[in-house]
Amino acid sequence: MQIRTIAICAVLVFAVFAVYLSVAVGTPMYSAREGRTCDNCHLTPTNWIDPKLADRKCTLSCQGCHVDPAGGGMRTVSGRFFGRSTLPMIAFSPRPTMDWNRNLIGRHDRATSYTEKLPLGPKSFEESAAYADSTNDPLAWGTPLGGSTKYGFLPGRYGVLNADPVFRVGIDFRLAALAAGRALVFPMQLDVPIALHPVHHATLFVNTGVRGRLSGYSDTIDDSHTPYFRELFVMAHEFPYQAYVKAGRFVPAYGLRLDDHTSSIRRAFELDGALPESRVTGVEIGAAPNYPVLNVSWFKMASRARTPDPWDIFDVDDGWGAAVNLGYREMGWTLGGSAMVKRRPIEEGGDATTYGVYGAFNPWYYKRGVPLVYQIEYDYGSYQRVSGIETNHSAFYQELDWLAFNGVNFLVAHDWVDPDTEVIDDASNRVSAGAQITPIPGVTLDGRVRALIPEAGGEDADFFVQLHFWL
Amino acid sequence: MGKRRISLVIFPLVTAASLALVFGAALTGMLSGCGSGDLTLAEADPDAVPADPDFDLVFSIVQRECTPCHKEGGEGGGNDAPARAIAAAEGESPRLVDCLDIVDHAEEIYATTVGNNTMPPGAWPRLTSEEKLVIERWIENGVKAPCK
Repeated sequence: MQIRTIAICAVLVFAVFAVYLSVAVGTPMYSAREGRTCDNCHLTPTNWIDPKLADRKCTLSCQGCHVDPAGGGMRTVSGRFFGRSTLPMIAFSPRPTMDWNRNLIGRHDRATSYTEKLPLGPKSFEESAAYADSTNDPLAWGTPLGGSTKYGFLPGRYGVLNADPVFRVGIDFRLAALAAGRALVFPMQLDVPIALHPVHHATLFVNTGVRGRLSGYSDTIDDSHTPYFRELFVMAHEFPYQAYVKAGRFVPAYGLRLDDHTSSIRRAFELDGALPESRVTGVEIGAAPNYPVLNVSWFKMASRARTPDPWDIFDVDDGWGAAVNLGYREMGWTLGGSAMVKRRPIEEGGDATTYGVYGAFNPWYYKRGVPLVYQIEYDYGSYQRVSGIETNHSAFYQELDWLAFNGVNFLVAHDWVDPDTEVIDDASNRVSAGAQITPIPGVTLDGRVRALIPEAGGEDADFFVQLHFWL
Repeated sequence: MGKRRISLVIFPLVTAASLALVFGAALTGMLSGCGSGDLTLAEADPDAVPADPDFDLVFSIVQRECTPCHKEGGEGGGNDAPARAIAAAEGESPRLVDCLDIVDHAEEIYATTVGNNTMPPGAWPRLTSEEKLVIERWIENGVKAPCK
């Protein structure tokens, strides 16, 4: 226990230190919003020559911004660039030209010239090699053996950031406060992801994290599943059409991977990203040829009745599962569908089948001056109760965001769940309204008033605040 | 120029209003009771939870859903029942940590989680139908517990 306490304290200290070295947070909403302009994911593409489809990296799928193609956690260089240029109030990489007049506090960042003399990247893959030595990136080291590949991120396209490092380390730390009658302050998340990419086409990804406990620091530290491997997989990637295959422990790609793990579209279907129980061990393949997105996985998992071993990613039981996610992420809209099956003995949790559709709309892409994004998901599925009798459940989520200024986002979100369609008065709605403020890269403050409206009565509200450090 | 100004004002307004309308319509639909069944869990599936639930089942529910907030409060007294009763009465928020705490506050736990559905508080999800039925049956079966 003492060793674990020391290790967690050391990581906490590192997290606080590391936020000053910045980079991005990402949710499906960011992806839906940012198709409006090219230069929020990389430098201004003046004279850029579009490569053939198989070579393109332009995508609004999760893998555009995250090392894990299913989304969440450590960011790719494109996600890091977005987190420095577009997301914060004060940019650390050149601000997209479309956003120059959207600052709340004027043009004070040093990264943006606010003139026509914009930093430019290479015009093509062939030119990118000349930019390899111009990076200055303290948290992404080296270049993989074997020379560049045109399917990887290109040097120079992301300013001073190392586009294709051998080694990267990141941090995600969320401190939360909940006021509902009494105030609770608790550590919600602490992840330390590491990506090792020694040769092109191969990456080892290890994300070690704590299981945040509402009951506070001491319970979090004492938890027998803190820390644990949240993700651990090897991945072959950087192939034509951004294809990849990964094998190890992960959360299956399904629907909108919201960062709010309490949302019913995640929690009701064993996809709660905060829980070790949501992790599976298996294989996933996928591709993102510009706009279409495909992820298919097959996996095994631990029984629902127990939490898998924190370090043994092969700690699984008899059942198996599979998931497929197919979508089309256009620049101004998204439409997709997902399905997931789990087949296991009743004592391990029983069979479950889930189908979902999701979408997003970004009118800002079609018309300047409408900085709104709407996203929506509906899921329906069957599962077995402990008795073995099958029943159905469904969940719905919608969110409307308004980016008032650079780094200042207001949102209203609505969650609905019917946990058992046969049972009366068990459905509930949750409506949230709040703001997300990102003053500088690496720090986001998220405050929301949330109201729960159960069908059975007992309506109540609370105030939830997260301080999120990320890099 | 006039057309352009109208376009700059009208388009955002119409778009925002349309999205707000879509959001509001979905919200209203769900608030009006979309999708809920017409049976209690006990009617739909009497075997969904044990007929005479073990205290362990109740304890795990309380530990997960109640203890995070109810770690302190009207506690104290150890195994001295009168002292516990006084402490519980004085405390605005009962402690729900060990077996005796839970047994002492069984009726209150039932009243707030099953009866008026107000606990856990705020926007925290309420207990599931299965969890509520476990507590209900545990009370009906005489609040059996190893510490009694």
